[in-house]
Amino acid sequence: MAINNRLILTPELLKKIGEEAPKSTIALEKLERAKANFLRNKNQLEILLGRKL
Amino acid sequence: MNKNGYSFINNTDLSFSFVSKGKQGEILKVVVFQEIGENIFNIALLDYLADENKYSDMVRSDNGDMKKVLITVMNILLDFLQNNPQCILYLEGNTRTKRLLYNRIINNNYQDIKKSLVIIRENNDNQENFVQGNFYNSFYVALQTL
Repeated sequence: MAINNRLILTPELLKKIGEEAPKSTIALEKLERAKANFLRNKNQLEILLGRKL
Repeated sequence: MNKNGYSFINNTDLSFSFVSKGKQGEILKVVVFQEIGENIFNIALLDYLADENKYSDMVRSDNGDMKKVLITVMNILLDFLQNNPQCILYLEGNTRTKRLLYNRIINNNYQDIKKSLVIIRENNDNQENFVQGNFYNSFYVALQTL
């Protein structure tokens, strides 16, 4: 869990993480839940925000 | 921008990183913006598990710096919205503990938050503008200026 100072944050590592993290299993699961929630509530959200989404 | 957060780095347009420093050591956190509709983004806060080269949102870091981590996430959200003012962000805790924490943070800092953000809260498919003291499962966040 902890990286304990062993992980050196190089630009290459940060780029790799930036590209990999959104494709990770857990991120994709979260995305599906959020999409379903948004579609279910889109109309009400538009009313509250006062703009078309 | 709250100065009590960690400094953060853009990995890509839709991904930011910062390092949580606490009693367990250093933990790399990744905030990912996931498009769920036109200009609507889900926020995912993940830990990078270096030893396994994996990402997780279920690890209980116990690093003793949760408040600082959440301030940093809020700073990242603000930065993203200021650069993308047309966007709306969706935030949902994946556990009851995290949902309670998000509610508490927003409740306790609402007077500051509402100067720059509109927050719509949601519970059991009902949405409403923010009411202090109520508990909600998730939040939509937009810039106040729109």
